[in-house]
Amino acid sequence: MRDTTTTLLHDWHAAGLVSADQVDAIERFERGRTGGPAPRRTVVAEAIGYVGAALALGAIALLVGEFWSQFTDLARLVLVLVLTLALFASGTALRRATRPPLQRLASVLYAGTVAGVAWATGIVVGDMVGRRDVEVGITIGVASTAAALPIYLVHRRALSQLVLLVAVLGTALATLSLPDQPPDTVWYSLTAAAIGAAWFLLGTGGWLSPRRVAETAGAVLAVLACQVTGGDDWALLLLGAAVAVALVLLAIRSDALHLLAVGAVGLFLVVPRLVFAWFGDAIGAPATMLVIGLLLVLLAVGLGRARREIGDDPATSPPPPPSASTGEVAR
Amino acid sequence: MTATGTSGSATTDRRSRSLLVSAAVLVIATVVLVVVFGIQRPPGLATLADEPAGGPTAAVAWMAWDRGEGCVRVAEPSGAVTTPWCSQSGGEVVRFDGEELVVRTWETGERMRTIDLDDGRSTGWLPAQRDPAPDPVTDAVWAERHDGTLIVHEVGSDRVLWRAEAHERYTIDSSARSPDRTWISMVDSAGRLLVVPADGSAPPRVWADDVPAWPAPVWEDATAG
Repeated sequence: MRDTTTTLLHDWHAAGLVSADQVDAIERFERGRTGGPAPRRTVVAEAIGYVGAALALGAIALLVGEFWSQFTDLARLVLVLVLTLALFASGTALRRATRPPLQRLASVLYAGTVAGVAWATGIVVGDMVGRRDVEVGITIGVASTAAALPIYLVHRRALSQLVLLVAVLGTALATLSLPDQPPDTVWYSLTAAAIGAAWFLLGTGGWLSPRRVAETAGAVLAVLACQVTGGDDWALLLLGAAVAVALVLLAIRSDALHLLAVGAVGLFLVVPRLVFAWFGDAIGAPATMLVIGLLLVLLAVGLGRARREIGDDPATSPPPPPSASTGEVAR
Repeated sequence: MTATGTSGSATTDRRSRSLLVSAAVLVIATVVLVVVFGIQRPPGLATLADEPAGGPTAAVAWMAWDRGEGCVRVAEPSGAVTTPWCSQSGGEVVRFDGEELVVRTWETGERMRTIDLDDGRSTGWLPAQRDPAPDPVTDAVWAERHDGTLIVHEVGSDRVLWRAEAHERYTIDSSARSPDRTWISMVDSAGRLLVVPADGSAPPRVWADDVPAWPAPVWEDATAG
């Protein structure tokens, strides 16, 4: 079974973009650099390893849980800190590994480190200092962000980025709950949507990598925030629909499938609620089905046009095959 | 070729910086919006601890959940709030009984525990059937709103107890009359326990913070015994 790189290389060779020698050279280089595509056996072994580790950790958690209530706060803190340090040390040891499974393991260990920092902070601020729940939440958020940010800066992987996003989001939402009378849920939605949009912009601007992860996570957060806690507030639903439409348009313009998926799913989530919010039960179900149907048609037409435009663009059309006799292959 | 490359790089840098600035502006604008329009403060009131003169002569008690534990809180007439007893099983304050408090718990099935108000010591058990679940406390006040003003009336007499400029989400969630019917306790939507004379002769004072609205705090019967 050929991997993506091999498939692309052979397609490029068929289109006359690269020569057979260049295909061989690139394949040799990639095999030497990454050890070649991961065999299915390795992937299965990695998955089994994670499942086994999760089961073992669950068993340890059950055993410790039986005695947890008998531990003093200090003993709990020491236990959690030792666990956190072990996770951090293991992640750091694997950070420079080149093999993808080890890189993924490092990401998981670093994510566990941030969770451990949050847990230890909760023990100190909640159990030992005895602050209010909302203050505990804010402190946990700030400590998690403080731990997740440097980890992300030295380990710019998808999971580290998502952990940082969750920590930032948690801090912001906990801070909103600080006043005696927390704001309406609309403000929680708006805050989460703004964080999602900012994350998307930072990803698109190249400030967060992997870029695609930042764009997808930010877009998902922005769209979901507008419809999960927005209730029947049509203004927020309208904002969600606008964000989803903007994502679809952007996806068609830039041929970005990940944005298209988020935008399309977002539309199907937000539009029915918007129709119900505006028109109520009177025309609810038929109008919703009609709108969704029209959206599907528009989406299909838009995608078709985008593909045709890309196909018609001379810049993206393959050049004529190289002449083997003259050796005018792109070098 | 070099010029083109430099130009392309500069364009990329500009685009990156502009998106960074856009993200920063978005976050700052959201923070400003939340602070200006989102955070709505309840009406400012004096506290009973600061102004205890002419205050209630009886205490109130309630059960509050705090970090996974149900804790009995007692607000003294002086304005001080104590926490004599906590339990992971939680429970419900039933009534004052002299120097003790009767609490319904579910530690080992439904049972009634008596607690010493001074030191929180458990002083005994009562059979649950001796104190059937109390009827929900009837609200002592009702509130209406006119042009941004919250008007609180006493149930029955419709006497106005309090007028306050308040944002639209501010309201009184629960209330209870003292056994001698001279005071009314109210829990507002900001989680504050307020106390106001039943004749409306003085504005409410804040007795305690972080008070759940339901079940309504239970008054001590200062006229008993």
